[in-house]
Amino acid sequence: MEDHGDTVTVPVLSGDARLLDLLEPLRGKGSVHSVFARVVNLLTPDGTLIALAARGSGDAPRTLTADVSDWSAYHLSAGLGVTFATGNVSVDGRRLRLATVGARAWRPAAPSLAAPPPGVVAAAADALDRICRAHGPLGGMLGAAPGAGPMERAVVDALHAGRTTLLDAVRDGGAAPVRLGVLALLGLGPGLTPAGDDFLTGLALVAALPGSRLAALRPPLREVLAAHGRRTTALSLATLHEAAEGRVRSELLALVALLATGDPGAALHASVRKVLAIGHSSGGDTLSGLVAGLHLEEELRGSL
Amino acid sequence: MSTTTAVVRKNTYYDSVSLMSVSTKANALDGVEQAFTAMGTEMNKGVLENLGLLTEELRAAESGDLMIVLVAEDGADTGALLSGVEDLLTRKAPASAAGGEVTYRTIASAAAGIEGANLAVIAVNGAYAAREARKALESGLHVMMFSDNVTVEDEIALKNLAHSKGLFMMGPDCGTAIVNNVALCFGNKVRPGSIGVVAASGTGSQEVSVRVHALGGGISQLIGTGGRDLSERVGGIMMVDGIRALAADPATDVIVLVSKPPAPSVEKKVLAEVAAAGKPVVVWFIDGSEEAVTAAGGHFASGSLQAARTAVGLAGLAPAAAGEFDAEAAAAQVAARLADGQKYVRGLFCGGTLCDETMYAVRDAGLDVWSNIQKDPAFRLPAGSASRGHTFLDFGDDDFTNGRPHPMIDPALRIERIVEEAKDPEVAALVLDFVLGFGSHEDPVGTTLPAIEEALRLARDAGRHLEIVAYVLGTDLDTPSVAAQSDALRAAGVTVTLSSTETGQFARAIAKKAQA
Repeated sequence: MEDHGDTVTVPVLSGDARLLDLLEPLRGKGSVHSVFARVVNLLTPDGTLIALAARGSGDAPRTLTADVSDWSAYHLSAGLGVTFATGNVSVDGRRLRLATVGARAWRPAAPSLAAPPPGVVAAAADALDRICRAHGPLGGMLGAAPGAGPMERAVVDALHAGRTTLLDAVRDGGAAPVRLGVLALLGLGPGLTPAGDDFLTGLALVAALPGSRLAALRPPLREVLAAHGRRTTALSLATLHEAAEGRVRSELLALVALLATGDPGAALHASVRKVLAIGHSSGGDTLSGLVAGLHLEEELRGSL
Repeated sequence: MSTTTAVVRKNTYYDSVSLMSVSTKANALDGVEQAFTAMGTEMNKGVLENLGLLTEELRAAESGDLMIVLVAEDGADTGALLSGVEDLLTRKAPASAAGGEVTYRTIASAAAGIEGANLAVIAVNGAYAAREARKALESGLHVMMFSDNVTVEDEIALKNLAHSKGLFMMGPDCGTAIVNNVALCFGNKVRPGSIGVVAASGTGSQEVSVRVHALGGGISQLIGTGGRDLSERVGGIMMVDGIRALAADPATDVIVLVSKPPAPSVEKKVLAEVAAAGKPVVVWFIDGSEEAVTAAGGHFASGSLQAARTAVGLAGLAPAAAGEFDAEAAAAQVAARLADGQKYVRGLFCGGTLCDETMYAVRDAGLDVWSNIQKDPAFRLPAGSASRGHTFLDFGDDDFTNGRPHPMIDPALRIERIVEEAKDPEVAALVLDFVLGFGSHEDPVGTTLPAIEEALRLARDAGRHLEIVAYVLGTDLDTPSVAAQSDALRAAGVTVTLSSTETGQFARAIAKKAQA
């Protein structure tokens, strides 16, 4: 961290390459959207939601990782103005400037599942499912937590019903039923990234992998996100838009890359653990979507 | 008749950690029939509508708004309950979507911010660790101090302070504890049970706890003391407090003590506690003698496996049957494959007590052993020195960890050494340990396998058989599991032993036959 007079300049350590390219020519005023201990979300002048993460958070779409342990020292709050200019981001009134020069560009690459022979993808999905059920948190796609209240149980029941509706629709292949299935999950769940959206993220990732048999899911998913984006939170909507393009957090991509080798071996546990560490239940709910997607992939391969 | 109250907070963001835990805690408030906090998405509103709880105010909520729904019992003060729920929300600082954790900058703020907190784990630079531990103790918290390089004067003062307050001061340099079934730092995931452990040795206590688990027993508490506790100057303050606590603990039926032999005056004090405990006490003083322990009414154990077996038996459990390992026969098969000149065993360990147990097993066969942790200065080998004869290195010792993470976290130095030792034509066998557990490397075998394969290739290309022996300390409940890590080693051609004691027996048998 350098201190030039009144303004503290914090270097950006790494960033989504697509976002870095977007920021370079960007000029204008945005704002702070929301503030958490280790992540601050900003709105760019054109209304795109981007994230500033503290170091060690892991690379992710639309995210810059800055050389700070957390953001508490900067007293940021939602609504503060943000100035974008020549690759730098400055928060008005807080003497904080983020410099992207020298930042490592992160280029997420979705691996292909074409290499593993029949049966291997299903076996990988089974292994993933077992770990997820053994170690994943309850309260979302994995079922209600013990002692859950009636409202939480109602959400879990709705998630289960939405999951069934969507997976049946993807199997049948019709765009209209798929749209209804996506709408049955979009925005469902209490948190900032609702459990239904996390499940959709995992499923969308499989659909976006090169050569996926689930590719037909993507057009209706994109249509729903475009037409009904207000049905979920801004952060979750941004995450889903990116997942539909195969762009997800680095931990999740690493896990899929491991599965794509066809023989993840002992490394699988560690990789899954990193994904389960995302949020409280987000990682587990996303893995549920990934498992469902991998099972569908195998099922649809067999039907060809 | 119950009353429903709904509040919408505009553009308020909490991640799912906060919202779900707040809902759960709110449901437990006296007078609350049900409570729910969620973002105001259409689907969440739909769920509330189906439950007949969607008020006009909630209907107007948008996706960026936070909804608080409270159904209070008849006669309850809804205003006070709502304040209670809002208090739960504000007590939880907004957290990141990436991690969900809250960073506290001081011990005092953490103690105040975490309801019911009663223990602090301190892992800061040793220069600051004593100051932080004192603050924690003065805030009424037990302390587990992972940090080392704390002066003995500070250790004595902290332990006396803790003792005067009825608190535990575990450490400095305390790497393992299991408190109320929660493993801390390097602890393993083991079954809860009736065997309590007090230990001045981190990996020694880990080994006892995983052997107890493997034999069908379980751990009530595992209390670490730090390696210096039984020295003359510190006087065993924490060991004595630990024995007394377990003696008074109704969930503990058997106590196990693990330590290097105490200073004579401290041994007397500790054995007096053993005699007064009122429960069976198994004593594994590593490389220690039996006589004094037996005289005090304790059950002497000569090794980790015997300590665990004795404890499980005293707890009234029949230890799971296991075939006896025939170290001599296995070593004979190894010796038959060795080339002329291959006569030494080299042990490269992450765990100090695991290194001790194997090293002493070889030494007790009358062979010279060299080590960076040898008690005899004539056979001490400083870190960075080339191996001599039978060498056993503890990569977790201060010489190797100065400025580096512990090898159970970052095994890079040992990985380099594996390849180096394989180049030595006098080496018959390499002995390795892999320590699983919550604080350990997430895949210690996986990260070491390339070096193992390289070592085997070097020996093969030179026309030699190199025996690699490995022990994986862990349980079936650890992640990764002991079975998965062991399978990966076997697939690479490594001989996997099933306990630290068995590792020592095998290393001793190989050393004897190779040097014969």
